[in-house]
Amino acid sequence: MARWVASVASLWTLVAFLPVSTRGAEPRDTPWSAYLLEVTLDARELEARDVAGALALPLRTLHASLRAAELAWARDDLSELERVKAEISAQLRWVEAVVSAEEAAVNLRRMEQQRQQVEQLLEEARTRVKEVD
Amino acid sequence: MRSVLAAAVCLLLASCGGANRPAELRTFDELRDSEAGTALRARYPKLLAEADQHRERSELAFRDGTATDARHHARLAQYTLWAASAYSRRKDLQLQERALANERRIIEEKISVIRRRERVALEVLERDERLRLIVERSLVVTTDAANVDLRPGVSALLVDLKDALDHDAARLAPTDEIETTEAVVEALTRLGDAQTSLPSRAAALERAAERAKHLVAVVLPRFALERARAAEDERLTALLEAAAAVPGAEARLDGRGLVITLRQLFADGETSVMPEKRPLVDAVAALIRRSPESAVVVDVHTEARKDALAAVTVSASRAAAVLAVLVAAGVSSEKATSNGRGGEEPVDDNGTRVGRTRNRRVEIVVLRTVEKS
Repeated sequence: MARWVASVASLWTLVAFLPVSTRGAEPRDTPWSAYLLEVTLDARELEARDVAGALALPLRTLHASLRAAELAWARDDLSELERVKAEISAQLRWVEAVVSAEEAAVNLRRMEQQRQQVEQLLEEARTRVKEVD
Repeated sequence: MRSVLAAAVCLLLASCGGANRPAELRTFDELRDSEAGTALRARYPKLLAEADQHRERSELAFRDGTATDARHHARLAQYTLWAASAYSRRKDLQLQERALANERRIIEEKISVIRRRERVALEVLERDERLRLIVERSLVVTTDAANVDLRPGVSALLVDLKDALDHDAARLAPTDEIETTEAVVEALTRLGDAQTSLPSRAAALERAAERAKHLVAVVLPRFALERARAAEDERLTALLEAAAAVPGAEARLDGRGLVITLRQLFADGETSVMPEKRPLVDAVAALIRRSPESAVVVDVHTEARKDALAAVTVSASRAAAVLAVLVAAGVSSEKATSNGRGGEEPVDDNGTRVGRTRNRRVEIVVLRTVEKS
């Protein structure tokens, strides 16, 4: 789960450093190519780790946006690229929210287990003290 | 006017052409207007405002006929709302986790209380066992006949201990009292043991001392005396054998010691040793000198006479004469004495000549240094 959060953090870092405009630059020399590649790799890593399927929809949406970004990039459609960028940013926040919710779910399950364990200990202690009494 | 007409046409197109309206807006509206959406707005107002803003732009773009922007803002509104929904789920889960943590803490506190109660119960059990042992040992001390003096002290201790235990506040921690009582009872027990064993030890020591005294006072001297007597007997026996070998001398042992009898040392009516008899007396003197520690008595006897006093006088003179010869021959004058016995102690019949001759005799007695038993 910690690695999920790290991946999401790296995505946010990339988004924060996105160039406002890439007009006039050669496609392969702009940060866009590295950005798309990084987001794609991180999204795949998150997908591989998403055993519960909680990230299925956000990641599917993210992949679609990434494909749209590639197409816009290929067409040199910067306005579309800006739109997709904004959507990817919103999707990344959504992904981050889902990841943190999943983390909270895992913590909740762990806490539930701990509570069951202490309940068992409580029962054992009650039994012992009855025997002593 | 033309712009108003265009807007109206757009609104009409929008209302009639619902198929072109972004589908995201419909799902957005459904969620936003639901009960969950209301809760989301209360929890994340900024996010919902942002989503509303996107929705508004989408609506405006749709009305302006820019479908791309309409879909774009509709998506942004939807993603923002879903993010808020996910954050809200996270918040709910965290609240549940916090509630579970509280429950766990409460349970742990219960366990702590129960364990403390268990520990106290075990301590009470252990203390009761120790108390039972104390009472048992105290009973041993107090019922021992030799420990009469200890009974009041032990009884008082037990009463004090019982008071401490009966007191609820002290019941959970009377360890000090128990340890003190244990120590005292232990000491009293040892004292009782000592008191019990001391009389028998004293009696044994007394018996041993009596035996020692008896040994020192009676047995050892007796052994020493007997050893001295045995040594003297051995020495006198050796002298006896030597005396028996002297011609003209008769020797025997009796209670006084070695008795050497000499005869016919004097001529009739004389009180001086005849010269020819002096070697005999000298030989006897040589024997006497072999036992320098012994005292020597020279007893001279005559035959029985009518004038007993004259007989004693003559015999005393003759005894002195013999003693003088002995002293002259080296016998210590300090250890030698002479007696005139007269005719009162005959060894034969004075009615015959042989008997009278035997009764005239000189007895040189080498006295025992150790009294004969």
